[in-house]
Order: sequence, then structure tokens, then C-alpha cells
Amino acid sequence: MKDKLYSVFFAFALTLVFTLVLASINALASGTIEVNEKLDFQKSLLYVFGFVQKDDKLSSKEIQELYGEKIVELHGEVDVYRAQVEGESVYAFTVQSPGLWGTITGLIAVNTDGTRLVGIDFVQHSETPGLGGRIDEKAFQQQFRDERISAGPSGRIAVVSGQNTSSSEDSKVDAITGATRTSEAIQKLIDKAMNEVFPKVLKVVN
Amino acid sequence: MAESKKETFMANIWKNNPVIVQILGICSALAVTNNMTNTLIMGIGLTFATGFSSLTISALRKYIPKNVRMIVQVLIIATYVIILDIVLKAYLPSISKALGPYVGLIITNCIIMGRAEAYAQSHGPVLSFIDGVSAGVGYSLILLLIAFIRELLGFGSIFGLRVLPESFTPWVIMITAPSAFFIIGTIIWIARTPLVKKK
Repeated sequence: MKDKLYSVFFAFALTLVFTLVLASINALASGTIEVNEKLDFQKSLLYVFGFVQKDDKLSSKEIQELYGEKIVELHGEVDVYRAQVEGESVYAFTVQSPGLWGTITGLIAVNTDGTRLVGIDFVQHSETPGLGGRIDEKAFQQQFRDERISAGPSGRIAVVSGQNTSSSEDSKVDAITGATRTSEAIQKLIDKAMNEVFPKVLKVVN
Repeated sequence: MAESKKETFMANIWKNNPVIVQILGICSALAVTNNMTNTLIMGIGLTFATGFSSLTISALRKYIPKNVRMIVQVLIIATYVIILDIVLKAYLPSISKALGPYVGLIITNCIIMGRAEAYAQSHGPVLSFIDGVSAGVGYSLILLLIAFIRELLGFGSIFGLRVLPESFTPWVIMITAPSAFFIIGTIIWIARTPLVKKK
């Protein structure tokens, strides 16, 4: 009986100590993590509008300055970010949709009538590194730049394989080899963005 | 306790290598080895986690009640892995993003628990720390070798730097998991032949 009590007591005390250690490390680091995440998000926004390139190395000050200068935040039912790209208004918003392993959070910029996708980035996902994880790569995302968004409720921008997708009028982009499920998930994410989130975006803007 | 520090270290690198001899940590060997950068970070992460978990478990080994020792081990391992995750998120956000869920999965890497059970339970803290670190290094070396082959043939690059000419056709199979099975199998076969002969 004494042994059992000791075990319980020991496990309890040790858990308490380690939890306290973790909690304090987390509290110390959470500020830095939040700043990182915010900067990351702001850079993503600048990228989807096409103000910076994916692989541009920007200091945090540059990001903040450019962000403050170019982007207007509108808060409502959904958060909308507005910017002027080549004299036209462009709206950016986030959309969440299931991926292969977890939720993919995409950031999408479209023109005012929702017929052109200006840019796309994935701010959070847990796809397989090297396979589905390649949705982070410039080559994949670049295909979406200025791609026409078709009117239909599904396959707004089809992610296909083995087809010629070079035209930006055909609403088709090339899928990732070895990541079929992730490619399908991206197509669904864009459908969801246009069918469910975009109408709310328009409500916020008008 | 006759083992010297050097012997302990070398044992895990070669004679008792966690991947090729003990066949532990295979799942992560398949998952992260399609590019060398991720593999290296994973290796460093695992080395850190194994080293410090072994140290802590060994230091506490006389006080840990036998019937809850596994729970305690997992608790200690998980603590270090979460610390690692937080540090990566705060200071190396791009790498943390690239590794995604794999950092958390170090907790379930059987090498750590294996070293804790097989070594840290019965040896002093310093030796256990060396044992943990060397198990991590042995694991990383094999994974880097696999990643080298896979990244070279699958992407034509090493650590993301292009080394093969543009005209080289990447072997798609090298990017996908099956190639890791073949490579790991071949490595185990080649490496163990001299080891088996000696016996």
C-alpha cells in the first residue's frame, strides 16, 4: 500500500514539475512565436497580392512598412484585406479546408467580381514534407497567379495531372506528383473559398 | 560499469546502431528522408531529445517506482520534445513549418524509449547522456545517407542545392516512401554482412 501511494505521489509530483517547466518556457516564448506568426502572415498577404516574391528576404521592418502602406484591413463576419493592384481593387481572405493530415489554411486573393485568382498561399498545413508539403513551393503557387476562376460550383480551378495547363484562361493547374490527395484538397479549398467565403467577403466590403 | 565513454559512444554509431542493427525508428526514417535539410534537423532534434531524456531518466532512476516507470519516461521524453517544438517555432519558424507534425512524433520514436529502458535505467547520468546522444547521432548518420541518395536521385539536389544538370530526369520513386524501404533494406544488408560474419 505504501509503495502504491509513493508511485501515485511520485507521478503526480513529477508531472507537476515538468508541466510547470513547460508552461514557463511556453510563456517566455509565446511572445516571439506570436510576432513570428504575425509577420509570416503579413508577408503572405504581400505575396498573394504580388507585392513581394515568395523567396524575397525581407526584414520585419520592411514587411511592416510595406504592409501598412499597401494593405487595408476590413473586419466583419470574415476578415478581408484589400489592396490596389495595378489600379484595381483586390480582396484577400483566408479559408480553411481539410487536407490529407490536417486542416489547410489558405490565403487567397481574388479580383472584385471573383473571376480571377490573383494569388494563393498556404499559411498553415500539415501535409507530408516533400510530397504534399510542396504546395508551399513557388512553382506550384505560381501557376495560380492570374488564373481564371470558372463559374461552376465545383472545379473552380481544377488541379489536374497529365494535361496542358499553361494557359491562365483554362482554370486548370498542374497537380503535384505523388500527392494526389493533397492536390484534390487544394481544388476543394478553392471551391470552398469561392462558394462559401467569397459571398461573405462581398458583404463585408459593401 | 567497466564501459568507457568512448566505447559507449562508438557502440551506437556502428555495432549497435539503432537503425541498422536494432531496427528502431524506421517510421521516421521513411518519412523525413526525402530531403537532407529536414533530415538533418530531425536528427539534431532526436539527438537532443534522446540525450537529455536519457540523462534525466538516469538521474532519477533510483527514485522512479518500477510500476510507473514507463509513464514517467514518456512524460520526460514528451517534455523535451515539446521544448524543442517551442524553440523551433520561436527561433527557426521556417524549419518548424517544414517539419510540421514530425517534431511532435519524436515523442513516439522508439529509439528514445529503447535507450531509456535498455541503458539509462541501469547506468549513470553521464554515460546515459553519451549513450543517448550517440544513439541520436547513429540514427542521424543512417538517415542522412538515405536522404542523400533519395534527394540526389529524386530532386537532383543536395541540401536543396542543385548538383545534377537540368537534363537529369528525377526519379519520382525516390521522393515517395517505397524508395526508402529499398534503400534502408540495402543499407542494412550491406552493413550487417561484416557484422554477422564476425559472429
